[in-house]
Amino acid sequence: MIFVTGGAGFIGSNFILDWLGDEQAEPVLNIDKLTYAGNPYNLASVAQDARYAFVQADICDEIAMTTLLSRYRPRAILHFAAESHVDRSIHSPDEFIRTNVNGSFNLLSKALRYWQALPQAEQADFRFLHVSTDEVYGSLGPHDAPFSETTPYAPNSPYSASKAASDHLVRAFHHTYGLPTLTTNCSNNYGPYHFPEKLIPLVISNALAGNALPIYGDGQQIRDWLYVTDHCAAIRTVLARGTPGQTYNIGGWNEQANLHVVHTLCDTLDELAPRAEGSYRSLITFVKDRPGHDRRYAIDARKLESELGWKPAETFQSGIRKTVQWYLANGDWVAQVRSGAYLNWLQKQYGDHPPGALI
Amino acid sequence: MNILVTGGAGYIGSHTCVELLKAGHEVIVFDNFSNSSPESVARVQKIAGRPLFLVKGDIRNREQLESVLREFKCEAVIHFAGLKAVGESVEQPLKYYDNNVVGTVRLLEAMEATGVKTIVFSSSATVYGDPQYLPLTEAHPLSASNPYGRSKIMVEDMLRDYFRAHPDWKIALLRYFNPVGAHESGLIGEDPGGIPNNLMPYVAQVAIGRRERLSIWGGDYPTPDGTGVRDFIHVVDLATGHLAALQALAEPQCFAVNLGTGIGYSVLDVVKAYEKASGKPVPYTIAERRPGDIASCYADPAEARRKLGWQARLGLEAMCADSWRWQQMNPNGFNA
Repeated sequence: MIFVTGGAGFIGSNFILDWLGDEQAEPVLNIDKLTYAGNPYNLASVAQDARYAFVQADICDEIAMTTLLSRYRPRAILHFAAESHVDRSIHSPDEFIRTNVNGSFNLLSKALRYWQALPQAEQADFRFLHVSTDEVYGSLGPHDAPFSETTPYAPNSPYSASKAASDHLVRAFHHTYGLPTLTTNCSNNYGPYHFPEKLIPLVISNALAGNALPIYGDGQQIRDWLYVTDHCAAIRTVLARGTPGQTYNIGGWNEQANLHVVHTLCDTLDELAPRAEGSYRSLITFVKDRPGHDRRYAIDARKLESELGWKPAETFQSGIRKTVQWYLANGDWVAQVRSGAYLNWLQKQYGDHPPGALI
Repeated sequence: MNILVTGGAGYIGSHTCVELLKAGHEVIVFDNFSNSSPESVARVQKIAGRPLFLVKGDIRNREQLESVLREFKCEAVIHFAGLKAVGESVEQPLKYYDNNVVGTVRLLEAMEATGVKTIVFSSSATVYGDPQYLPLTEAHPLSASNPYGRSKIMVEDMLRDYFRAHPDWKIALLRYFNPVGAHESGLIGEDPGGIPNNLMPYVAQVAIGRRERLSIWGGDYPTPDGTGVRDFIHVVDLATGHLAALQALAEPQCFAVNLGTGIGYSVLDVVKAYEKASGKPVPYTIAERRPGDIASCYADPAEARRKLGWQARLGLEAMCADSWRWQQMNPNGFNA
């Protein structure tokens, strides 16, 4: 069995769906606290799969983590759980420190105790894979080389600082205690099940509703865009073949300015869901930039390609097209998320057997 | 054998888990951590060098017990879970009847539903009440002067009744005398929250300087030195007693047996032995007798020898030395 923390979030749920898509895959226990960003409805299609189990728990909960590890004896822990929305980290950093730093530390500590008690063969096979972000490397100037695994950490927001802290803890647990850890630092993900507060889904749903499309500052903030399914495949590769103690950058080889992203979305929507009033581009409005907004992130993912032979399958065009198509076909999902109706789905699904009972 | 251990994170439970793991059993600990820490389970695994399964749960939740018994294909239950503070039981009797009695009813229901028919139950020498004769044999009449003791008698009676109705069951009632000491590794031991109710943890805290002095409740008992006499038994001996009980349950039966050393030591004997083991002074004052306390209590261990082929091996010196090691290594218990 593998553990996925934060499996009800955007990347976590995509990972679980992708993982269980393989008939031979080991069972998954999804450990998620179900904050606003966790949506178990994402996983409705696997809820009845015997290989899937869900437990509502906080990674900061010492008893819950100890118990789950000891009860289910996972072969690997894939640690996705994190507070991840930079805007929220600016207004209330506390929760980011608690979950991303203290929560990761608790999970690492409990995983270490569990790992130390395993028989030798199982110890050798065990992996703790920490999913992190390229934002830990800070911001790049227009002509700087992209972030590589050896770029010094220079986080600029409470969010990226908290992720940097957890990356360091993971590293330290490997070097100090020998825990077989792996860290991946990825660029901006996009794709199905993306919580509608993030740029791409926000633009799609605002555009479809005929609302304004806000762009921070001049819209020239550059990001590398990674289609989430590519990210999941990369994580599976690192889990299977990565060297313990190493970190791997995962990128999409798609550096795009935010404004270009929005233009591409508008153009794709114009084609797939044309609007009587004319192009969606007319909805774009510029708003004041947020504090500490990094200008450019770009990621050098050559290590993953040269050492483990992985590179993304999607281009920016193909990924955006798939994403827009998914949102057009899944209006009910967006409506559920916006109304909070997925919370009732959970109640309906589990009834008198709250998923916390698994602990 | 796959064995469900309720209360397996507690003091006696954790030491028993070590012995079960060492003997090659698969252990499933079921604990609500109301008076224990999962850290003890982590340490049990460290000592044994083998993992066990841990489930957080309350024995009053029959449905959860059933699913755990099924999921782990349990063949036997060692039932430690229960509340054990005499004073608290007088103040909150319902809590004691609910946890100790109702909890055991739920456990038996779950076992019945899943076809698990072997249970080892943690009883106590407290079921003998004020001794009518010494040493105490298993035939001594049962009585209780507080809800804690009564809850133990009620469960014993219930198990005897249950066996009459289900003679294919295997039931052992283990009457513990006064468990003390700790594992020789110093990794697990007794971790009472707040002011210790029991003598040795209190003495340990005085020796290490966390408490100023020990109050000895009564110096005018009809005993050699005037202080109360108890049958202190090393917790590791007690733990191996559970293994012996499981082995003795090869055939359907229901029996009660004392787990004690047969030797009575006075409170002052313990204080002196502890001073020697720790090299620290243990200042004390003799205070008034506590209502409900008895002068002397020690086991006749012959039945355990005969029935289980088991007897205590470790003496007062080891009890004090191991307690002291645990105390020094873990001045704040499991919450380091």
